[in-house]
Formats: sequence, structure tokens, C-alpha cells
Amino acid sequence: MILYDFEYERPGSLKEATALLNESGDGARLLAGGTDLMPNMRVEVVTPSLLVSLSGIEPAAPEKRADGSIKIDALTKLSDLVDDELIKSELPMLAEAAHTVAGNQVRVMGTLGGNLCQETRCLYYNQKHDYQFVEPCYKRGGDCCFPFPGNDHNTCWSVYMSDIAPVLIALDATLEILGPDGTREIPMADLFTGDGLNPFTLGAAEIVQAVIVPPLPERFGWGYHKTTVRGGLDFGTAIIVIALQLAEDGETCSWAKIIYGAVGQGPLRPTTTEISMKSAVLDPPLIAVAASQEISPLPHHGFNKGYLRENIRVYTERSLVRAIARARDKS
Amino acid sequence: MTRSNEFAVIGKTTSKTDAIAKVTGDARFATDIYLKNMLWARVMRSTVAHARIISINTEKAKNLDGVKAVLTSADMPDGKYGALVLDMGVFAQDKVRYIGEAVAAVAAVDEKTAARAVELIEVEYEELLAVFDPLEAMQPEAPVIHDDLAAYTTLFERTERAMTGNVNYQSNINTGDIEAGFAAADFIFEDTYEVQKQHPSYMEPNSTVADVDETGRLIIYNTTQRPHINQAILSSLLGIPISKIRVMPCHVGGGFGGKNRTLTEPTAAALALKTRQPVRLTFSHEEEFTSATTRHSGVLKMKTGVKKDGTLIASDVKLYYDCGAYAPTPNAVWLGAISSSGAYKIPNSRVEAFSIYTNKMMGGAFRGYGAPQANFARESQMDRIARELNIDPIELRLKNCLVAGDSLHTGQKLHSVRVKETLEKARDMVAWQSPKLAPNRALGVACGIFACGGFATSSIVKLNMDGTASVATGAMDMGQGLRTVMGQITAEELGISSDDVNVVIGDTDLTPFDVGIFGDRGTHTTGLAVKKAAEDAKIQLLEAAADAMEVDVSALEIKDKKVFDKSSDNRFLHFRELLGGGQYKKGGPIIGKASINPTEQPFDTNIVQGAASKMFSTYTFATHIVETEIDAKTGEVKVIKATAVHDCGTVINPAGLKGQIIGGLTTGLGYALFEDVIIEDGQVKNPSFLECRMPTAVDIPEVEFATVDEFDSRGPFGAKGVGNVSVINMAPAIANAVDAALGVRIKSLPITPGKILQGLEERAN
Ligand SMILES: Cc1cc2nc3c(=O)[nH]c(=O)nc-3n(C[C@@H](O)[C@@H](O)[C@H](O)COP(=O)(O)OP(=O)(O)OC[C@H]3O[C@@H](n4cnc5c(N)ncnc54)[C@H](O)[C@@H]3O)c2cc1C
Ligand code: SF4
Repeated sequence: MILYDFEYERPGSLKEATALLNESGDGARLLAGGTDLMPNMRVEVVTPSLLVSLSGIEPAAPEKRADGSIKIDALTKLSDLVDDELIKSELPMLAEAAHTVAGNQVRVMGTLGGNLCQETRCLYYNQKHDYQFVEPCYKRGGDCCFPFPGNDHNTCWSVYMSDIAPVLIALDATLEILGPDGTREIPMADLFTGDGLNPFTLGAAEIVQAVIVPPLPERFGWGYHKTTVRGGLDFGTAIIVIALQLAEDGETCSWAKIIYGAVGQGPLRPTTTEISMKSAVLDPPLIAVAASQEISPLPHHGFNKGYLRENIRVYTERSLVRAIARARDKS
Repeated sequence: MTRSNEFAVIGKTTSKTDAIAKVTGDARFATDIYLKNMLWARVMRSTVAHARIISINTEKAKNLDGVKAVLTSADMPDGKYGALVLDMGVFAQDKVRYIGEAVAAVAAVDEKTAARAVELIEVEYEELLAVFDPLEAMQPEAPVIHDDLAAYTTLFERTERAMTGNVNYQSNINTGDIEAGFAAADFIFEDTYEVQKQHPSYMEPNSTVADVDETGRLIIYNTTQRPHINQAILSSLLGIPISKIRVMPCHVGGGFGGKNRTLTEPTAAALALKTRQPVRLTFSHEEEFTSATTRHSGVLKMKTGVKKDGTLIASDVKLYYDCGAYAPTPNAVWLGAISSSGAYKIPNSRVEAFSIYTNKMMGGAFRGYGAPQANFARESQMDRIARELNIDPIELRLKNCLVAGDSLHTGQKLHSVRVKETLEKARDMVAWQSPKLAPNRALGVACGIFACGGFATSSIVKLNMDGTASVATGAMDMGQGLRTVMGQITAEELGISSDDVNVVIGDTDLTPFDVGIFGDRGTHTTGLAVKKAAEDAKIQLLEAAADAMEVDVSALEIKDKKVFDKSSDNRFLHFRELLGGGQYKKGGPIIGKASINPTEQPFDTNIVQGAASKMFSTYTFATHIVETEIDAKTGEVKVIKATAVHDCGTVINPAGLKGQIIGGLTTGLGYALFEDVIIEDGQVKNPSFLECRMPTAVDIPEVEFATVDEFDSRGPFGAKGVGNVSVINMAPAIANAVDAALGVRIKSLPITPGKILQGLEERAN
């Protein structure tokens, strides 16, 4: 039950939606599937005075364009990402990641755009504050931080838990963003500020309209792993995503991308590891070394840094092995 | 299955009487009740863990538009309530003792206004030192949480430390000669185990709609496991006679012990009496996870003396159960004490069990009722003994397990025990050779005992004019299938079909007393009362028939809703001929009744002190074997398969049994691997289903189950219980499998990957 009053609009187009957002300034929020926003409104960490619902707008089906890229409407339901034939055959990593989100009920409501723009999370933040944790923390506009009291003023270590964003970064995706002044495109990774208080670079009236994934190169391989406590309905303890291309010899790595989710205020990218793999021959010792480098996860939801590091190391190694095997399969 | 071929209805799966209504959404739950002019209540809760209340100012809240009433303890009669220790008021009296304790409540025209009003209540506290750890709370210098503890009313025999300091309950068991036992032991094993809080995680939050009818009677629509006890508690807390209260429970959206409480009823009722309008109070899920009850967390110390050949000879157990700020059910601690010897014969045994106050949310009844904690310790240690003495873990258990005729360490003589057969059958079902199957695969075994049945109950069976029957009992169905099973028992006894039995439960105006559903007592004890009431009705029916047919009762038999004269096949009367018309002129309506009130003390009073209840009529047993896959690099554990063998006496309804076994072991799985209500400085860090993490459908392993042949002479048609014992083996079985695979012994729950990795690291160093 949401215990405060708000207005509700249901425009017929995204253009109208940005106009509405623009008129009402900071107090307005987009409502897509509501699976992230509604719980946050219930616990009153987000209290928009106007909801601009996108439920009146039909998403376009995923489309393969002339240049081989795939365009996916941001309003696409996660369950449709899981089941779509084009996505399954061309971007299986995306279909798999979408399938690991929550459970069926959430996936049939939740959208791609909403998934990418979901709020960062923290045990303290995602609950009511009637009688527990009454003092507002930095992210709620106050002056403390419960799990990390020793942090600098206004440092928030809430984590960004989308399963899909790390995959889209690995796939070099671009976001098509619609604002009051028209559209712009940004690389997926540029959506994030890295600041837990204010995780996104989007303007208040901007809408993620579509995601564009460029064609995959030859000898492309991928690995996706989401560590969870239980088998379903869990946010990630850590999300490990690998994309790489092998050279024609099937041994040398042309380039590799490693993205970690759920362990930072936005997706993390261990770039020195990526650089060390470039042009290297990916034999088991090198894989093991690569996996052990430079992992600096934020502790979150009761998981300490040491545990997260170890888990990420093991699954990075395993996912690299999967990715290489997939790349070889293709050659 | 057990002797089902002798029965017409017993042992056959009949579909649950409420299954369709629940699937279609027709079943009515408490939150489905909307009454005209209904007000919405909300509770104002403490923000501090331990404090004296200096003042409460409700003026601003009362003056808010739409607010109809604000209550604090000043507006209530002085009483306190609790199952055995009467320690809790409806609202905090003088002191608050945990974050989330009810301080005041508001009734308003809508939920938003009620929420706003709660924010306007001002409380001034004088904060006191708080204590959150049960062992610290036992220390003499610890802050005292209940200042007048010794003066509280208690309903058990007080032992030395009971009602002193922060100890609100203590029970002791002393069998044999503990010193001599340890002196005779070849090996002594000593371990300390730690267990966490687990929330019952019923989907439907606690909820009450209270109404005052035109005659001034209080009507309660609620979700509960114990309507008659609700009625009695409301009467004593509100100072109105029982007869002026009618509790009409709705369908229950899960209880698992957590609805063996009276949490929303008194507040809603007091507000309804004050405003003379219907009042609805439903807890939010945060309130459920911070202010209802969980399984007791605690520390368990276990010292066991063993002969070279594996014979258990001495056991010294100390149970420190953390009951939080109030002690709604010390009985769970007593059950922990009983089950702490496992399903074993230990000639020299000492148990000291404590229920200890801390400034946290309450620990209380939850499926397994004190036994999962104790059995985790006992069965983990049994496996350690087996490993260190190089004895097969199942052999070690078989060597020591109880058999019928043995006495439990409490001195209670056991008449129905088939734990040995459960071990043997489970061993055969998994083709057990040794626990380790492969480097990352292992089996883990555990067996256990649970005190079953007992406590007062009663039933009425009324025969209807059309030859059908109605059975009434004050017990409740929380989804476990009590309605269905009571229908089957009545049908079997009367020789009619289940479809011809109307089951009425819960409503205190229509049903006779039952203490509530917990402790594996529904089928076994309430079922026995139902059987006896049906038997009484049958005798009356036969007497009426004998009269009408002018023969002796002994010449009659019942078949197909007819009473036959045995001497002649074509001489019979239909039930409806007997029940309609004629007989009313003579004996009046046929109503059978029965009550059961076990009062006989089963324990040896030289052995047992401070028994919280003295009524367990029998015991249920089970063995579980889990097959697990363990990732030695990540510490992740997956249970692939669970094999469960139960000694539950006669199976009344096979589908119901299956549901109970799978449900119970799923709760045990969550307890073992995932669930934890994490409290830091008195605040619950994870008050949600998402973060408390009960298992989901995909976490449930393949389950294979069986029963062993047993007929318990004290149960209806030989039946015992199954709902609790199915919970208690999973945690130790999984811990044992982890140890078998990795050589890492986890002694604290839940068994997380982090703890396993740490264990591996310690072993490597
Ligand atoms: C029980 C549960 C479990 C979950 N588990 C997971 C999980 O495992 N992994 C995971 O990734 N997520 C999980 N989620 C989060 C889930 O809400 C998102 O994954 C979902 O995709 C959000 O989509 P939505 O359409 O419902 O977003 P909404 O709730 O409608 O919106 C979320 C936010 O994004 C904004 N927004 C929505 N659409 C757009 C757009 N097109 N452009 C710009 N801003 C937009 C909204 O204003 C809002 O701030 C879980 C949620 C629940 C309730
Ligand atoms: S980590 Fe961020 S959201 Fe969590 S308590 Fe600290 S400031 Fe608040």
C-alpha cells in the first residue's frame, strides 16, 4: 500500500511523456512495469508527485537493421526478451541474462528500460523507516550511512543490481535517449555516474527509448554468470559478464571485456585485466591470472568484500573458459 | 501404506475440501472482509530497543481529521498475557523492550490518515542499556529487561533460575548418573552450535477485523491457529466475559506456528469497542519481520560421552534459547530439551534449557517448535562421533536408537517407536554405502524425534436428517488439510463417504474447545476427539435403530448409510429414515461428543523439572538423507535429492502426507542454507521476503519419501503426526554432507558459502 497521494498520467507517445516530465520537473517519474518503482514508493524512498505511465504505448518488436545491428524497444517486457526468437538466436547472452531476473511475475511486468534505470539498492534503503533506521541516510537526504558509518560524508555505497546492463556494456550497446530537445545516443556505459546517491546521467525529462546492439564479430564468445543465494527471485550477489573475440588462430585473444554487476554503484570494469588479455594466448595459467586481478567489489547486502572477491575470481575464470569455448565453436 | 486396506476412507487421497475455493480466489481471508463504516488501524512502534517511557502525547494525533481513536496502555486494563509467562501487555507498559514494540494504536477513516496520525504521536523515552546476546543476558551484570520478573504469573513449576535476571524459563532433565557416565566413556565430544532466527514466512500477514454487533458482542474475523485461545485472551485482556466474544476465523494464508499468537486481535478489538465501529488491523510485511515471532535463535552446548564401540553413555546439554523481549512460548524451549537427546537411548543424561530475554523481536512457535535447533546440534555431533570413531553414521545411529518400550531421557515410556526402521529404509532407498560419493558429491543423514499430540480438544458430531453428518471442532486448518482429515475420520467411523461430512472449524460459537493447532496434534489429538465423537453418534444411531427395529443393538451393523439387521439382509433402515422424522420424538437429535484432556504426567518427576507441558501422548520419528553437490571453490551447496522416511503411524491422506513432508523439508532447507532474520543493535536489517530468503520452488530438490509400518494405539486409526518432524533433519543432514564432502564442519546456521570457504581456509592452515 502506497500511503501518500500522487498524480497519474498515461500519455499515448514517448514524446508526450517527455513533455509531461519536462513540465513537472523533479517531482515526476516514468512508470514502466513498476516492479522497481512501486516497491520504492511503498517504502517512500522515492516519492514522485506525478507518475507518467508508459503502459499506453506498445513497444515495437526487436528488429534486425540493414547494418546488422539489432534495435530493441526499451518498453519490451523482460519475458519477451527471454522468448524472442531474434534475441535468442542473435544475442543469447541477453536472453539468458533477462531470464535470470527475478521470477516470472516480475519478468512479465518489468521492461528493459526499467531494468536499466532501476534504483541502486542497499539493505537499509529498501525498507520502511517508520521505526527502524528512522534517521535518514545520505541517499534519503539525511546525514548518515548505516552499513558504512566510516565513509566520507555523502558517500553512498548502494549497488546497481541490473542483470542486463553489464551484458549490454559487454555487447557495446548504445542507448537511444529521447528528451524534450530530441534524441541522442550514448554508449551503454555512459548511463552511469558511479555515484550511489545519483546513479544515472539521464536528465529529468529523458527517456531511454531503445537499445541498439551492433553486430557481433566473428569468433565471438561470451560468458554470463549470476551468483545468487537461492535458485530464483534473488538479486545478484555478483554478476560476471565476459565478451571476447579470438584471433583466427583460435588461441589468441583479440580483445576481451569483463563487466561486473551488483558490486558497485554502477557496473564495474577491470580495465587493466582487459588490457592484459589483449593479444595474449589464453591458456589456463593466463586465464587464472587474469581472473585474479583487480577486483574491487563493494560489500553489500551482508556479503563481505573477501567473499565477493573470491566468488568473482572463480566465476570469472569459469566464464572466461566458457567464453573461449563458445568462440572456438564459432570458428 | 499402513493398513489402509482395512479402511474405506482412511489411507485414500481425497482432494482437499478447500482446494478449489483457494485456487479460484473464492476462499475468504480476513483481509477480504470489508464492513460498513470500517475504520483502519495502525500501530505506533518503539524506535528504541530498551527504554523507560517518560510520556506519551497523543493530542496531535487525536486532533487530526478522520482519527476516531488513539489507544495506549493507559487506556487498557492492566493485564498481561503469554502462554506460560504472562509478561506482555497489548501496548508497552512503562517500558519498551525492543525496536518495533507496540506503544500505541490509532483507528482512522482510512489507512493514510491512520499512518499520518501515528507519526503525530510523541513519545519521550529514557533510554536504558540494551542486551542483544543471550549469553551476555545471562550474566549477573546484564541489564534487566523485565524489572518485576519474579512477580509475573507463570503457569509452570519454577526451577532455580527461572524468573531471575533475564531467564524467564528453565527446565532440567537429569537421568542416571552423569559423572559416572562420563567417567565410563572412552571418548568425550564437546561442541558449541549456534542457530539463527527464522521467520515463519506465511504469505498472509496477521490480520483482524473486529466488530461490535447490535447486542454489544465483540465479533472477531481473523487469521489464527487458535481461535478458542484468542477468545480467552481477549476476555482476560479486555475484561469482558468469554460469552460476549465470538471469534470467527477466516481461511488462513499460512501459519506454521506464527499464527499461534494473539497479535492483531486485542488492538483491533479495543479500538472497535472504543469507537463502536468495525476496525481492521493488518500488519505490513515489515511489521511481520520485526514485530511478530521467529524461531528462537540461540547457542547450544553439547557434551557427549561414548564407548569405543559407539555406544552413547553420557550426555550433557545446555540450551540457551533467545526468546527476545517477551516469552510467548517457552514450550518451544522445553521441546528443545526433550529432543536434545535425539532419537537415542542415553542412560546418563543432563539437560539444562533456558529461555532468555534479550532486547530483540520475539522467538516463539514455528514449525519444528524448538526441535530443529536441538536436532541440528545432536545430529551434527552424532556425525562427528561416527567419523572420529570410524563407524558408519547410519550404523552408529542404529546402534543407539530408541525402540518401543524404551524410556526417553525424561522418563516417559515410549509405546510407538520405529526410528530404526526409518533409518534402515532410508539407507536402502539411497543404496547407502558411504557418505562420500565423489569429490564434490556427498550424502548426509539425520534422524530425529518430535513430541506429538496432547493438549485439550473436543468435538461434536451431529447426524443430519438426510443421512449426512456435520463435525465441529475448535481446531484450525491453516492449509495443512485439517478439514479434509477430520472429514475422513468422521466418514470412516460412521461408514459414510467424505463427501457426506460437513466440517465446521474454528468459530467459537459453533465449535467446542480446542487449544489450537501446533505440535503435530491436529490429526493425532483433535482427530481422536473427532473419532470418539463420531463413535458416540454411531452408538446413539444404533440404539435408535435397535429401538425402531425392535432388535438388540448387537444384532445391528452399519453399511452404506443403512443400518442392517445382521440376521436378515433385507431388513434395514436408511440413516435418513432414522434421522428424519420419527426419532426426534424419542431421543431427540443425534449428537455425539467427545473431549480429550490429557492430564496424566508422562514424565518421571524425579528426572524432569520445570516441564512446560506434560501432555505429549506419543512421539513421531523420521530419517532424512540428502544428496548434495558442493562446489569446493565457491562453497556453494546444492541439495539434489532428499529422501525422507517417516514413522507417522497410519497415513490418513497420502496426498496430505506428501504435502507435509515436502513442505516441512523445504522449511528445513531454508533453515539450513538461506534464511536468517539479521538483527544488529536491535534493528532487523532484512525485514522482507526478498532478503529473508525462504526457498523458492526451484530450490526444492527431488523428494522421495516413504513411511514405515506403524499403528499407534493412541491415535485415531493408528495415526500420529508429521508436520513438525519433517522440518528437523534437513539442517544437520546438509551439514553432515558438507563435512563428508569437504571435511569442513559448519556449526552455525545458515550454512553459507562464506562459512564453507572460511572452513576450507582454516583447514588448509
Ligand atoms: C522481487 C523482485 C526481484 C527482482 N530481481 C531482480 C533481478 O534479479 N535482477 C534485476 O536486474 N532486477 C530485478 N528486479 C528489479 C526489477 O524491477 C527490474 O529488473 C525491472 O526490469 C524493472 O522494470 P520496470 O519496467 O518494472 O521498471 P519501473 O519500476 O517501472 O521503473 C524503474 C525505474 O526506471 C525508470 N524508467 C522506467 N522506464 C524507463 C525508461 N524507458 N527510460 C528512463 N527511465 C525509465 C522509472 O522511472 C523508475 O525510476 C526485481 C524486482 C523485484 C520486485
Ligand atoms: S549505502 Fe547509501 S543507501 Fe545505504 S545507508 Fe548508506 S547512504 Fe543510505
